[in-house]
Order: sequence, then structure tokens, then C-alpha cells
Amino acid sequence: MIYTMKKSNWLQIPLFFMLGCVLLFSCRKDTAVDISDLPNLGGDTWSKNNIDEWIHDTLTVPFNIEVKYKFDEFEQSLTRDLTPPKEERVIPVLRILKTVWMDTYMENGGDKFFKTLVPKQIVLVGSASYNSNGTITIGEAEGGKKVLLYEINDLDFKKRDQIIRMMHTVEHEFGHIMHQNKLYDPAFKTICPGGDYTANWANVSAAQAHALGFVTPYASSAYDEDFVETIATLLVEGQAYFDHLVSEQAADGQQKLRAKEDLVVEYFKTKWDIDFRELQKSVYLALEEVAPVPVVPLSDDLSAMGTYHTLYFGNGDFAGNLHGNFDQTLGKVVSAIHNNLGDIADSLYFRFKNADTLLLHWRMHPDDGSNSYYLADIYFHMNKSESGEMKFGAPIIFPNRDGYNGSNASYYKNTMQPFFDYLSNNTFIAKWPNGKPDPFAQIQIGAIYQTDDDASYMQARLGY
Amino acid sequence: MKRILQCVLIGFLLIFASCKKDDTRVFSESADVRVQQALNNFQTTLGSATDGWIATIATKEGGGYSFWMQFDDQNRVKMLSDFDSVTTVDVSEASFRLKALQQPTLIFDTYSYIHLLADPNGRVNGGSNGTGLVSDFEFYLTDSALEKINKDPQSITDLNLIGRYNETVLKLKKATTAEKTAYLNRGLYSSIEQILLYQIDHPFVYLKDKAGKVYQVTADPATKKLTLTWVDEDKATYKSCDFAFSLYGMEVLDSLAFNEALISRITFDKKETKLVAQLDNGGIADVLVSDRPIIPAYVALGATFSTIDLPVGSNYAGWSSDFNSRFQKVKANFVATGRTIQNADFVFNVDAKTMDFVVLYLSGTTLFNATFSYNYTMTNDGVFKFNLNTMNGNADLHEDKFDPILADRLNKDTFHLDYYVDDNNGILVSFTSVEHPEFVFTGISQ
Repeated sequence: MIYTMKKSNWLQIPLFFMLGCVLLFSCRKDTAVDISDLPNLGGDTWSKNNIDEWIHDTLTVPFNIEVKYKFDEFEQSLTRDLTPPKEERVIPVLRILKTVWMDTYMENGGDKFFKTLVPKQIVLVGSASYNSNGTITIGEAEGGKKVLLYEINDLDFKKRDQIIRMMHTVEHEFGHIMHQNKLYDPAFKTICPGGDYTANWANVSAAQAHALGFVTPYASSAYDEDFVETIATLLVEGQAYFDHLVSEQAADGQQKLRAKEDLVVEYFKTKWDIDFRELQKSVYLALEEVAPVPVVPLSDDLSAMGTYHTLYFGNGDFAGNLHGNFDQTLGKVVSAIHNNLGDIADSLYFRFKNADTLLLHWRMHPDDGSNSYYLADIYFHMNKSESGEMKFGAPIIFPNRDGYNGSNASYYKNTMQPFFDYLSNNTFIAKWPNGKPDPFAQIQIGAIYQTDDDASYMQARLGY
Repeated sequence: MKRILQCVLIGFLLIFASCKKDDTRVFSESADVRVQQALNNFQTTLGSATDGWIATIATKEGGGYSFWMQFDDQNRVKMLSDFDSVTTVDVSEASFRLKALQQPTLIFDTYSYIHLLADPNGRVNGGSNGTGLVSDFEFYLTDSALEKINKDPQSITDLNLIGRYNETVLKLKKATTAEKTAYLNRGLYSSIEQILLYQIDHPFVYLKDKAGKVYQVTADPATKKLTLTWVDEDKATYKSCDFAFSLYGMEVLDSLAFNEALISRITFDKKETKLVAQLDNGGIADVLVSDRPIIPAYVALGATFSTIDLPVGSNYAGWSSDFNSRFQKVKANFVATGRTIQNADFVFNVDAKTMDFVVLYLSGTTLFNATFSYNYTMTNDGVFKFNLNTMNGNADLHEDKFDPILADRLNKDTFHLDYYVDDNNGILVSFTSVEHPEFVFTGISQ
């Protein structure tokens, strides 16, 4: 046709006219495609039962969430051996999800926030997803739309660690959705040097990751993972867990972990107007509701084998913390040291480093404005009963072995004697002041009671 | 101008030819309608079994399993299985659905007994983590089965479905009312119990074919494998297949040849208290009972055992008095030098045709090892000749102490190897001297 155009222009008109006619008329189709009967348009159908109704009423209507618990090979890996969940596990799992995750965000972030961001599909899988390297996958999210939860059949609802693991996955995935909508402060990416992030995270031990300032090994895989792992850990494992983890690191790790914590808290406030601390509390209470933490009595936990080894008064903070006979003896000893010897008691450590020994470690400084200080160590043989009641022997001082700490102890001994007598003549027991540790405290407070007198007790910080 | 006309003509031809308006269907209905029709028929077939179906499945890694399944029209399926003692009596209820994937497919879509086999958690079924016993819970209809179903969905009595993922075959057979009643009244449990108890009382059973050849029959309830073992050219030969328990005994799930037919089932005859093999050509064969393994000891040597432990006591079951007195002399020879024999083993290597007689003895508080290494030859009917090849230092040192049993007998004579059945000690292995029939001893096969 190009050839004809070159030759003469007038020929184009009838040619195109004719072609146009042919094209227009030749392909006319009178019959409309019949779409009245297309079976299975709109997805699978089955007779609904109470599970389907529960899901519909609890999740689909209020949140527009579809829950797939019936096996559908196209919703999951086609190349893995997986099984559908047991029916009796579906509602309990969803209920935990709702209590711990949905309700808490609804409460603290509001309707609009949560309903906008919530993934629209939850897929439950009965078995774990076994990876070729021997590990298993327990949760996955796809682009903020879909969350897959595995291992539903193996989940033991009574075991808190298993609930924690599942909820950690959920909070992790939801964290991704949040930062994909509003990015976190880029400063987060500068806390740890880029070289500390590695695709080879599976070979990083938890201890190595913590030391570098990551909450988990997986957090060291990428910036985004780091951010959402920090969120999930602070929410699900909780503040007390995080604080303990931080306290076990060297200064560098501590500083990095705290910096990340601060940025997470700030992110929730500035980007979503959510008080992260309140959200943490809600999640904690929700977890307590579905799987309460087994409380370790302080009489077990403050010991050579326990989490804490030390109960201590720092910066002379005795005031208000000594009650009854403790005030009458230890309180008076602290005053006498000041009044009679001219020294101020800075700090006093009750150290339970060995199963049968208590060490009182004092630090004094002269009340003359100088920088000097004196340390004094006094030991007591300790007898601890099955129920945790402690009996102490007479004070023991090692002036030769302990050097200055020993000779200083000898110097103070007479002044301190009333408290030593009190310790040696009574039985004591360690207790949590409120019956259990405070989940949000950075430093836990413990108490030691005179067993037969609830009014006589001292409370102080717990240390490691 | 000519060219233009050519172009136009070709254009017309092309356009008219390509726009053939013919909407006549090859089939009478659209594909969607036909698929839905097939699914409906499939549902009709499954639901038509008012007494349920008896199903078997041969997993790829873990033997065979049987089920009783009843499907309703509300996507619910009830099930029993021979998987374990609970699944045989507690009816489970779960969900199923029929779906058009590439073929009409039956999906057991919430967890039920059939998923136990495919569960990738090895602790559930004893399989490997990641794959379980390698089985299926999504099954499709083959074209031929679909054709039959579409013809008359009600009348189907047998149906084979193929697993979509691992291609295991689910064979369904309509149950009778009597069978359903039996299933719901612990019938499967009783049937399994009967066979397991019979096995405990009769550990050695066999089949004898027309030619008189004997086949040891072993049914392992843990691996769900049925094995025939026989002697072929003086070698133990075996063939295994999957089986599943049923109300009638053990159903053989793939081919196991016997008497020019295939064994289809081994059933328990309550009246006669015996097992009977049913063949696919309608024949039957009694399963016979023996007090000892069917495969001769000299054939089983190297296959089921390779070490014979000689108890170091006295007058052990099956020992002749001649052997006993000679062996006590050997022990006394050791005691005389302040040593005691702790252990004595005949260790065979059938590939290398060697046998080590290994004796452990205490001297003071130290354990020493004296090893006499033999080469051996064996005739077709199991007569052994042992030739002393080497001795280790300790054997050399104490050789003469063993003279009553070694130099005087084992090194010179030829021996028959056989089983010896003892009520207290079970199946032992005996050595009998051909030249000195009064010299007989036994040991424990390991």
C-alpha cells in the first residue's frame, strides 16, 4: 500500500472506503455472550457451619477480613507438603489473634487506623512449612494483604512461649504493613553500621545479634526486618524481656538497642498518633488474659540460680524503703554510721551469689566533700528452706583475704551489730512487692520480709 | 491499478475467510456448565453410598492404610481408619469439597484421619519431617472414571482417585450396611487385634505353592508391609508390598505373586483359627504355621543374622553333653591361669566367607580379646567347613586352652547349621558336627 500511495493520491480514497466497509460489516456479531450461567464465579462455596458464621460475624463484617482455613493449594506454596488445620483449632487461634493483636490496635490506634491497614486475608495452615535447610517457616505475609499462619495443629494454647511465637509473627507482619504506608525515621538505618546487616542471618546466634544491637538474629537481615522485629519484640516478648536483654549487653549494644526502642516509640507517636507505651500495656494485658506468665516467686528468682543475684540500695536511697524492724535496725545503723563515724552509706548490696552465702557489700564516703570512699564486705552463712525462708548465721569478716574490704568491715562492725543481730535472730523471705514483676519496669523492685511480721520489710532494686 | 485490485481481492478473501460466524458448539453445553454437571454427578456418586465407602491408600513411604468414609451433601465427611487404635474406633468428622481444578477434584479440606499420612510433621506418622509418609488429600477423577460417573452416578460401586500432589491412589468401594454396622461397632479394631494376637502366638507362618516351595509370610503392622521370603538359588529372596487392615484381615494393596496369581487378601478364619490367603483368581491357600523360621539358618545367615553368641554358662539349651564337658574344660583351663571367659561370639561375614571366633576374657580387671579368624566353605545344603586362617596375639597365647573345642573339633570337622527351638530361649542357632554327631552346641543369633 505504501507503493500505491507513492504513485497517486486519488487512488487512496476508494481503496480505504472499500476496506473500511468490509471491516465494519464483516465482523459484526449479533449474539451477545451468554453470561447468565457461569458456575463457580465468585469462588468456592460450601455449606456454612458455626466456624464460618463466627468468622463472618467476628472478622469479616467488622474488619473486612477473609479467613481461609479450608485447604486451598493456591493460597500457599505449591511445592511444600502442608496440611489443613484441625477444625477445633480455628476459632481459638483467631480468638487469640483478635484479643492480642486486633483489639489492642483498635483500642490504641482507633477504628480508622486499623481497618485501613489490617491485612484482608488470613490463611491458616495446619502443619509447619518445612524448609530444605531443616528449619521451618511459621508465618508469612504477602504485600500487606495476606498473612499466613502455619503450625496451627501443633499449637499448644496453654504454652505461653508458643502463643508468643505466633503473635510475634503477626505483629512482625503488621509492622511491615505500617512502615510500607509511612516510612520510619531514616535515622533508624544509621544506628547499626550497614555491614552488620547480613543475608546470612540464619547463621548469626542470638547472642551475636544482641551484642550488635539487634533484638533477634532475623533483625540483622535488613533494615525493615530490624524495625519490625524491634516492634514485635517490644510488644509481644514485652518491655521486661527487652530490658533484661539490653542489660546483658556491653555499652555499645545497649546504646543501639535503646536508640532503636526510642525511634519505634517516636514512630508510633509521630506517624500514627499511637502511644506505644499504652499499646505495649494493652498487648501485655491481652497476653496475660490468653496465656498468663507463670510467675517465678522472688524467693526462687533472687538466688544464685535465679534471674537476679542482688537486691541493692544505690545513692543512699534507704528513705521510705525500710519498714518495721528493718527501719529500727538497718535504718538506725545507717544513721549511726553518719552520726557516730561521720560517713555516709552510698550503697548497700545484698548479694546472693552462692546457694549458702549472703554478702553484704557496703560503700561509704566520708561526709567531708572528698572523693574517697570505703568498701566493706560482711558475709553470712545462709540456710534456705524449700519454701524459700532464709536463716542467717553470725557475721563473718575476712580482714586478710578481703584486704581493705575486710578491714573496713571490721572497723564498721560494732556500729552495724544491731542489724547483724536482727538478721541472725529472725527468718526472712524474698517476695515480689505486687505479687509479680512489673512488666514495664526497666528495673525491677524486690522486697525481703521478716517471715513472721508482714510490717517488717525492705524493698530495693534487683540486679544481676 | 492491477496491483491495487490484487491487494483488495486478497484483502476480501482474508477477511471473509477469517470471520466465519459459526457459534455451533461441539458439545451441547458450555464448558462451565459441563464442569458443574460433572461435579454434581461426582457429589451424587459419593453421596449415593448411604453406608459409606471403604477406601485404601498406599502411601509412597509408609505402607498401606484403610478408611471407612461417609460423605453427605453438606460438605461433611465421617471417617475411621486403621492408622492407630484411636482412629479405628473414634469417628472423625471434617470437611470436604469438590472443585474443578484441572479435573473434578475431591479435596479433604480440613484435617481428618487421611491427613495423618500426609502430615509433614514426622512425629505424627513416623515419616520424614517435611514429607511425612508421602501421601495425598486432594484427589482427582481420571477421564475414564468421570465418564462412568457421568453415565450413571448412582450405580458406581468402585472408584479410583489419583492424588494431585504425590499421585497416590485412593481406591473406594461402596460399603454394605453390614460393613458399616461393623465399622461403627469396633469391628476394625477387633479384626486388627485378632491378627496381632495371632501373630504373637504364631511368629512363623508360611505359604506352600503347588510345586512345594515354601514362602515365609511376614506382616509388619508398624510399616504396613507384607513380605514373602523364599529361597532362590540358595539365596534368601523377598518381595514386599503395602497392606492395610480391614474388617476381614489384611488387604494387599499392590501385586504380590503366588501360585500364578496375586494375593489379594489375607483373612482370619475364626472357626479354624488360621490365616487364609485369598487370591485374585478366586483361589485360596492356607497360611501354614511353623515353630521356626521357614528360611533355613544357613540361608538366613548374613541376611537376618550374622553373629552367633555362645553363652558362657553350662548345659545351655540344645548343648550336647559332649560339647558341655569340653567347653567346661576350656573354661577351667582359663580359670587355672587366673583368667575368666566373659563372652564368646561367632562373627560371620558371608561376603568374604570368613568367620571370627571372638573370645573376651578377664585377666585381673582388664578385658582381653582373643580372636581366631577362619575362612569357611559351605555346601548347597548348608554344611560348613572352617579353616583356621590367623590368630591374634592373645589367641595364639591361649590356643591350647581351646583345644577341646577348636583343635579337636571346629578346626577338623564339618558342621550343619540349623535352628534349635527352645521354649525358654526362643529360636537358637545350632552347630552339629557331621563327623561327631554327639558334638552339638547352640548360640543366640544376633
